[in-house]
Amino acid sequence: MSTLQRIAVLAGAYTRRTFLFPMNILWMLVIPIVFSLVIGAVFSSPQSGPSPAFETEQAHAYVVVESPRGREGDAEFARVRSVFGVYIVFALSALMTRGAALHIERDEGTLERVVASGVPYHEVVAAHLTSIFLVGGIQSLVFFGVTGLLGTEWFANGGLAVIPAVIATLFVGSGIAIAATGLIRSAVAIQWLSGGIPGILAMAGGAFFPLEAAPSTLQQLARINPIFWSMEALLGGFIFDGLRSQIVPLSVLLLVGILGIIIGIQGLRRMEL
Amino acid sequence: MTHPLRHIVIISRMHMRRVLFDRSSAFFLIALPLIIIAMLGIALHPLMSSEFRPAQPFKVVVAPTDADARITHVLASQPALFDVQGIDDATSARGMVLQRLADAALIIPEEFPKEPMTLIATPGTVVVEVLQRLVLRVASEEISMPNNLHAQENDPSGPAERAPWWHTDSFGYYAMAVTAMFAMLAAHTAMVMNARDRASDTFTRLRSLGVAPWTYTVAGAVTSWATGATFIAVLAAATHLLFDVHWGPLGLWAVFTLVAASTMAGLALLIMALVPGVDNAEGVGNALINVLAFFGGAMAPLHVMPEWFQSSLAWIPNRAIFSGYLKIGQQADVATIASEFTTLGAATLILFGLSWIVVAIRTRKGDS
Repeated sequence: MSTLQRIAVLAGAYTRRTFLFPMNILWMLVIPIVFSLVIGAVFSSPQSGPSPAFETEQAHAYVVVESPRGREGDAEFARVRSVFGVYIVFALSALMTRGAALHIERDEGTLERVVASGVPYHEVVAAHLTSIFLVGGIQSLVFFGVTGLLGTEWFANGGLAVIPAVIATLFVGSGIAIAATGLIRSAVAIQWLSGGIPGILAMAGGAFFPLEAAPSTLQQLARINPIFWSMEALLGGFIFDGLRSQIVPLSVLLLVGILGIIIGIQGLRRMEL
Repeated sequence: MTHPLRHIVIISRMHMRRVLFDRSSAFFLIALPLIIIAMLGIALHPLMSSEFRPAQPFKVVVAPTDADARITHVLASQPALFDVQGIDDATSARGMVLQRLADAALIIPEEFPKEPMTLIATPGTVVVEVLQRLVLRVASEEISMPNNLHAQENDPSGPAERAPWWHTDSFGYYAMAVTAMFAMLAAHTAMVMNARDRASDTFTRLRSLGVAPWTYTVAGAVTSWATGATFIAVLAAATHLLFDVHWGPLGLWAVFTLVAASTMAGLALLIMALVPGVDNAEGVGNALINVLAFFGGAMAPLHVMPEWFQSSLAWIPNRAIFSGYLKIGQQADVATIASEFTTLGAATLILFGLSWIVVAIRTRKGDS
């Protein structure tokens, strides 16, 4: 069996095993979808919006709100943004948890057994890293597919408005997960962090409330937060100038993702058996 | 002390010690909520303060330059809020927003207020709401507004705005909302620990020594209640010291905390009774608590939620706890928080009653 085949077989097995645990299905798929439904219901109500008083017909007699491009699909942005925020939190959490699986294998001795059976350490690591991307990809497909079917208009402004932002978010999330795996040797510690860090990053990155209301320090800090750039990529694609508005955020996400992968791999090399 | 009562006290004390001195509990139940409170308190402080001021004034372009002078004048008179620029035509104004050179554009027709003006901005942003309010204020000064708009605009005691969260700052809001959320998690964590023991040979050994299964279940509920109450006390003290959050008079606060902890214990017990398997119950419980936390206002602030969301979910236990603490913090008397006491009392009875029924059925089936 060639190196690539071995990596593919191991990555497939790791990915399959991830989705065999009911709790993983619950936290990676069911809960994010339930949350998106709840948030979607809030933002699709005729009374939705920060100040219901202004949503009345009488209010429209004095001021009509339009998006910059004036497209009909832009009205979906509030809902799309909120559900995307939910996705980011659960995707990052799932990817970090998946990364911790390598350390669980090490703790349980499975890693040693696989290496002793003749599979080189770097191939096992490569398979785990591939599995992080696969798990994230499957989670994204299911999440966006189901929430789309349940009413979130992801493609209200065309596929290009959202797809690059999703792919870049998945990439940067995987990069962060790999970096965490390489830097932190304890599976428990990574699992702790995966329970808290994604939510905090999402809040500080403007995924749940607009940062324009936040103090300037927090606005400045957001610029070193990858989730801020994910939200910018979505905003640029959905509301502003499409791919042209997304170039900067997508580049930042790509860079952070690559950096995370490099840091993670270097860390994992130091842990070589 | 009778034997069962003694067993309950010993088991509860042991479980509480394990929860309170566990490192992951210290992180998830103390450090994490404090980080979240600090972060959201700082982030949303400008939005929730009575005098909202953005970090930088919103850049607003008004077209055309000779448009309704009142709007331009009102905008220009608030330099901390708006950086106003006039522009000749509507297309250029829209272009500036599209290129993100301005936060918003106001296209004012000659016939305003007979014809509506157009506000161009990213949907759902703060600048949209601020400008909408301003335009309506200007319009209302000029013409007679329809009754319901007048009512909403001029009466600060509308149904939503009577709610206690409108009268607190961001630190007070999140200290109490996040405490209500994490109190559920603390109670659930304690119940999970009890259930794990029941699934292990520790329980078998204790049973052989004469400890009845119901004793262990009651001990779990007691641990859950005591952990919830202790957790709330620790977080209340920490937020008072760190963020100067005022939790109100100690006596009323203490009584309310004990009632709130009972509801949390009832919820934890019902989850454990309904979901088979400790791991499953732990996961489902955590998931349910996250959803309840959203409804309770611990994630997105209730201020930005629709009015139906603010007013129709008062029966959710963590919302009642949150609301009760806010009122106590605002020096309310017992009569003012009677509805929260009633909600929590009823919820406690229902949750414990349902748990008892489920446990009884499962015991009869030999599932326990």
